[in-house]
Amino acid sequence: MNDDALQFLMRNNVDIDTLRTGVDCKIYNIDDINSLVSKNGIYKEGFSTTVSVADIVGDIGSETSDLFSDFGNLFESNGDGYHTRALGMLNYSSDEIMEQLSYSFEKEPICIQEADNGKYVISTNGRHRFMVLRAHYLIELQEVKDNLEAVQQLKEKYTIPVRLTQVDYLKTYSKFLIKCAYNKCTIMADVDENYNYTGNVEIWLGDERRVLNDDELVQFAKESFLTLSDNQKEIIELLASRYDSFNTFMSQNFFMEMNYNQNLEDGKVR
Amino acid sequence: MFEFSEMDIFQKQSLKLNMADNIYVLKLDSKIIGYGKIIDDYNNRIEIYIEKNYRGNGYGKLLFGKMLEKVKTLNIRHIYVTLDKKNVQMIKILSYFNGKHVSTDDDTLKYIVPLKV
Repeated sequence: MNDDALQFLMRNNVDIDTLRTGVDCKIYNIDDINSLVSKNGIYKEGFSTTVSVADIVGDIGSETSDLFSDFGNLFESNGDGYHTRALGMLNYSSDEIMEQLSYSFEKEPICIQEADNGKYVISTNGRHRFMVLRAHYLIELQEVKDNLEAVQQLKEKYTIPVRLTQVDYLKTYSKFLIKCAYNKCTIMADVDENYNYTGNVEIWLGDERRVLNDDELVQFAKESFLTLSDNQKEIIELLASRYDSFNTFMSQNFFMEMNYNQNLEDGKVR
Repeated sequence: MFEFSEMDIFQKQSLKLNMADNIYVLKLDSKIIGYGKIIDDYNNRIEIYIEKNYRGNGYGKLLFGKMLEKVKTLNIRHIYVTLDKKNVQMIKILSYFNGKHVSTDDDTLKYIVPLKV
């Protein structure tokens, strides 16, 4: 932890060991939140909304680490312009920080990306602001963590305007299943002549290009799924038990296919 | 003082780059601090590189903008850029130039960047 982080903690009367045992001070990497999304993600158009800092749990660009140990990557009095330009933010107290940053939220919104249901990571703009806000949020959370109502109020206090890019789970998970069967294929979001997403996907299988809508994509994913080995299907079931959003996708779209082996054993499929 | 120019054969040799590639250099006070390649394949790609010590100062955006200006003269509607997903600085540059994230494949992101010719 560098001096700037230590001084920040001292100004806020924080004992770091107590804080770390009381609340989760990790900054998660998108891979650790949902690796299926991080490795296959297809996203929707970004839009402006509000999200609580409580739900922004990570960073697209760094390894999972401790927030306070990571301070030096963004705040360093002896560093270059990138590391010194936001040092002033560290002087604001928990009572001041939201008001002090309110203008910047409107002028240059923090940009976040969905990593899994209800969990977000910083994608482009806003790393410095996020680190300071998350630090204040955790410091306050430590005080009220056993009071559900106060935790909810805190979540609301730290709700900020953001530019959000959401995952298109149907496309993302369909892509994952298709790539299990066709390792070399390329699947990407289709864009129109104005470079807006059309809602379809563009698939390249060798030299063959196909544009599929959601129904066609799921159908292709189903056909792909049925070509997989039992081992691959077992891994997919395991992943479905690990990630709720994938489980939801599978149970909504692959009910028959997921029970295919079981049905065969039960003699239900002939 | 910035200078943007086509890389000469000696510079390519010293950096062990392919002689046939279209490579441009960004110089700061006569020192090469970065270069960019236009890869003329079916996907029309651009690669850029900024020396480590000069990153985080806007030079990548400057170089990428210059490279886009070069590509525009080739009458191309858009280019694709592939990058490592941890390359946050490049993601910011692509967002600045209205790049659209079209796919994620393991640790690689693919963006399409429109060119207004």
